[in-house]
Amino acid sequence: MEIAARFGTDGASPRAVHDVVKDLPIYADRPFCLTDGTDGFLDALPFMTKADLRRYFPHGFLRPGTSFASLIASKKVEVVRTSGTSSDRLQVLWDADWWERQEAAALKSHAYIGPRMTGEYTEAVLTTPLCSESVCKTGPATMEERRVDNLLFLNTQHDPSRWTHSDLARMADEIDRFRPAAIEADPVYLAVLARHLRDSRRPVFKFDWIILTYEFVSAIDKTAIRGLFGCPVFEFYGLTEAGVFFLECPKGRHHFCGSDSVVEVFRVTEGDDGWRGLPVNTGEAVVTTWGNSAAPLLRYRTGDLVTVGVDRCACGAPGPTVLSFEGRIRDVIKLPDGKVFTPRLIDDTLFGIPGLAQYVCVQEGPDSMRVDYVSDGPRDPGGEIVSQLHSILGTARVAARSAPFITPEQSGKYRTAVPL
Amino acid sequence: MSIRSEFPILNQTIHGMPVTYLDSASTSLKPRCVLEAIRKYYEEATANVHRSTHLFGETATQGYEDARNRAAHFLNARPDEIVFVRNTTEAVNLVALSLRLEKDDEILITPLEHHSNQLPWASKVKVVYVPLRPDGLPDSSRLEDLVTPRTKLMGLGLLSNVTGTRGDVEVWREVASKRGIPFLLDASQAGGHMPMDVQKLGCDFLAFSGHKVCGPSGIGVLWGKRSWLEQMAPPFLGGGMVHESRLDGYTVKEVPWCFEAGTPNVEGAMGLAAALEFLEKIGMKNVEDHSKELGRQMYDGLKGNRQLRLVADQTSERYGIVSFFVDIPGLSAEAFGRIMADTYGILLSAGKHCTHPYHDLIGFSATVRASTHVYTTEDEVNRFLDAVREITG
Repeated sequence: MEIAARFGTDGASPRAVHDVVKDLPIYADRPFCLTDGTDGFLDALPFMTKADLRRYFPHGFLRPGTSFASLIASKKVEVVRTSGTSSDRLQVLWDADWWERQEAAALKSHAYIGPRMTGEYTEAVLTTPLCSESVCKTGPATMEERRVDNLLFLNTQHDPSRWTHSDLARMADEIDRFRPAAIEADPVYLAVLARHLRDSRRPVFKFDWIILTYEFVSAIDKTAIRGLFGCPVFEFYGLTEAGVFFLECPKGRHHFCGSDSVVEVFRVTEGDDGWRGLPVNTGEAVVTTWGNSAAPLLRYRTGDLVTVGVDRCACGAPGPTVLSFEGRIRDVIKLPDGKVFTPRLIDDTLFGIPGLAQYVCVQEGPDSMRVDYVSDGPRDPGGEIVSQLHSILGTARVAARSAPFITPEQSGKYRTAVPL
Repeated sequence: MSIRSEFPILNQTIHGMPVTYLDSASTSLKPRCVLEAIRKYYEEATANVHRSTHLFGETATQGYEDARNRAAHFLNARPDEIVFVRNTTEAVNLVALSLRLEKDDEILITPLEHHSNQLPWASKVKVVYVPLRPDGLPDSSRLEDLVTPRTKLMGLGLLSNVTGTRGDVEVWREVASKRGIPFLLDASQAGGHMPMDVQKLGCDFLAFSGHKVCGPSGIGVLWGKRSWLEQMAPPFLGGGMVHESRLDGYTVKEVPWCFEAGTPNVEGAMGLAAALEFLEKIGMKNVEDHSKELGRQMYDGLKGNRQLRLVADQTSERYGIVSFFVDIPGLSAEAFGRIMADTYGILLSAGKHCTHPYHDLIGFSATVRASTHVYTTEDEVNRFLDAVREITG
């Protein structure tokens, strides 16, 4: 596999990686050489997948003489789960405070956000409801009950399509009372709130900035959010099992912001799995992390496609960047001729259609698609959706169907493309 | 016959691991004969019952009433005392709605009851709870003292869905009989674990759900002594339950059809009949022995584990259901259950198992529950115990 780019190699230390993984059983089955030089070292690392993490949890992460129960009871390590149902979720181990540390470091390194993260910095969070091992703030949880340190978790419903006007008004009220510096949000959720605020004509709270994370960011949502709130909006890419890796700069590119980690992008070249039509610098993000000593990862295949930009960003920061997140490999739609369409390509195609609020493109047959869409306003975008998709899909059949809402997956996340 | 091989769902793997299904107290798995009975209704005789004058309708009606006969046989009861309902919850609600209760009437139950035998009463009358003994089980020796002239019903779980222990049926029956109070058994959990002979149990009402006895969801049985059923006013009115309807009134059908308003769950009843026949072929005594054996195996395997606190841990006499609190700071019951599922392919329940008051009383925020059924093997229980040891070791 060809490498399109490597991120974070400046801070990589083969010795540090080796030291943190050397006595973990998960890596005893996959030996690697400790070579001089970061590139050579990375080249020698084995790949791992979600299935490996699942198969080796927890015994593969227990160092000699350590039991799982004693590790958890020590409070130095916690068990965290990724989102989703048991078919795709993972149980992972985090060093205590690791996530907060590397997330804070990433945000502090940002040219716009960093200087504004003062001691009294507060943040609202809008995503699936806060539900962890110790708390679950769903149902009638009060605002105080949803306060955790400097954060306010706004949502109490598992499915935002079931938000009522009073739910949305309650969240808007709480934002007004809490007055956070920023909001970190799932883009679909925040776009729904933004449209409600617009339609109800209530004054909009002015955040210093907005972070969109948790899932694929549709340009439709991002534009709606930016348009309503009128503040800088940045995408933040990370994975629960691995850490945070990319943060969007004010110029719209995504810069590496990971701590103790390296991201490699492996090109999906023409012919791989019969795929055709991907840009040359598009590939799968593969991460190596050693900052979370409880569960360091070697060349972990994320299943996410990114497109890399090798020229210098206008913001002045050096090194390659990610131009766009293309979506998950499992969501790539493939036609019988081998031509593939990433969620980003479909999103770019549908972006800008007047009256389109949300959609999901479902491949119903080898060469037939159905787009369920939610309208924004009186104009029906169905006809234009069909014609725009025809422009990239060629002879494939496309039908569009108006829907009152799009249903999220059980995890609360949305897919914009669902292949056959 | 290998019982396990009759359950096609168990041929699956989860993340490459065989499925160890220990969540039968939530719902049981379905054998081929149940799937076949439902398929047969849809493919060969889909029709409404009690009204259609054609072959399909007659076949469906026959199948539906045969299911009633089968349920009666299973309970050693008369068919005209069998009311088909959606589940145990609906059965208890039906009794609660039909028994002309007043607000200051009293119902006597235990704090160990499932919500299905608590909330239907709590919303209508004063509920009196039998206190718990120090071992966490209801203290039936206090029963007599708690009965008052206002006690209108005594309700007991035949088999606890949390502790796996059998209710003190004999003590309750004696008190109820002596004081002339109707005695209801919530047998939701019991059907897959022990014989249920209403003559021997000596109750006035008994309710169970089809989905807990290897049958389909959405079908259950309320058995009631005819003398009690005849005193009850049908709370649901509509098609199918009236003998005659006029502009100025109506006459309801006789028991049990007067309690089955609307088109019933015909295919569910047929599936339930197939499930009950399946269990009877195994033999309910064998079912009971198997359950007790697995209950003992789980109890013995978990009891000495210092990271766990078994619910009602002094009682070794139990059926194939155990619940325990995970006493590892930072590891919740829910996380424990997820790890067992995702890492070992062992499917359990975690939470309060619809017994919130009981969990509050025993001081456990949530517990993990392992529950067996006729298809559960000793090897599977051993796999579960090994995994528990690995997590807690």
